[in-house]
Amino acid sequence: MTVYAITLVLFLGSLLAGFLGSLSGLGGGLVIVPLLVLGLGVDIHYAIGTSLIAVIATSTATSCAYVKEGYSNVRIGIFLETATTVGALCGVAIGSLLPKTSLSLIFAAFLFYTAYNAFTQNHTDLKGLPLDKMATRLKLNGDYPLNGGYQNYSAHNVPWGYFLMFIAGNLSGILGLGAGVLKVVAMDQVMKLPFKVSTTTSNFMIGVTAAASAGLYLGMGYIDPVLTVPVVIGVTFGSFVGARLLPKAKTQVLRRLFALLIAFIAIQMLIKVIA
Amino acid sequence: MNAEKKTSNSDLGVSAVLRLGLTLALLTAFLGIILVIWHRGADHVDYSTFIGEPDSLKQLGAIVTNALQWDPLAVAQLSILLMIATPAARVLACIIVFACQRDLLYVALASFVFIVLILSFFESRAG
Repeated sequence: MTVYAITLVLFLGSLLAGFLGSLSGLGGGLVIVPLLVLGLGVDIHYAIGTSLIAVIATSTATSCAYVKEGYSNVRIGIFLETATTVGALCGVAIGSLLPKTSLSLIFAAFLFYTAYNAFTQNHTDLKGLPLDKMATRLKLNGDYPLNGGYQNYSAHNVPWGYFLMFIAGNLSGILGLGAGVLKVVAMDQVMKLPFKVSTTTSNFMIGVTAAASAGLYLGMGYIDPVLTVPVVIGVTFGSFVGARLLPKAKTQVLRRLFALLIAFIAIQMLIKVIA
Repeated sequence: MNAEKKTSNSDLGVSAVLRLGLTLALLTAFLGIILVIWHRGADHVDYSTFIGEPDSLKQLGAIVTNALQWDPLAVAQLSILLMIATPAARVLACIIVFACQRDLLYVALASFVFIVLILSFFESRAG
């Protein structure tokens, strides 16, 4: 394949990756890896390196918009990121001790369950819930734009959310996939944060987590400029479009999109196990 | 529900760091991709087996030195370095913002994240 062709294909694929990644809070990786591996026959090592950079680009491009508009919650992001980064380090350390196959199967099953939940459920009404003491002490409450005004929200079940973030970091260290999913699920389902706050805060966090491992992968030679640079450019523009769309998008539609995407990730995991 | 609400200055500061990092990375990426296509557009590339990048595209010093001499791949790789550095710069900006708000708990938490980031980066360099 010539450099011309590879640049063009990757640029176009990344536009879609950035668009879906920014809206779902899952990052741009989920389209990039299959495109590279299955579509272009690229070795998985290069694909992992490229997808990691795609995640950082999605995160950075969308964060520009979401912080300004008041969707993502920087305090929640930083607070939970302490759990994720430590979890990721532990994951890398214990990764070789655990049976990856069974872990992948359990995780895939969990993803299908979550996809089913996200697809069927109309989210619980948040307004009735009282302020959570621990969340208040940790300043995890906030507000976000809704219907032209601002809606207050409070975080709940903080210890469980924190624990799940640790596991999220762990899994991303062990399996190299799926950290974004658990982040959104932990914030949305466990901590009862509004869906748009969950996805945008996840977008912020995955960039930080990915940056931690990107340095490592660069040093190991996984990151090739011919593959990554068109992806960075494509993903950035795709993310900008997604970020424009988010304020107008209905939460219900986003939730459905999220469900479809994580079912897709679960299938990817199963294929990985079988292969 | 509050009818009106400002975006706080602190958030705008964080957003400015992101914009700066992203703009730098994107400009370098465009430059890199143009150089790569110009010099190597018709080259055939094969990524079906993993051989890893050469040292000149792995080491910080070499990337910067070669990029300054307009080596196409090095310029492209430099844009990736800038992209990787942006989230770290953002966390650093958060530390400063929290410090200005005298929010010591969050200065500590953000510093922790920042230190882990930096450690993981340099750890990989040593190894």
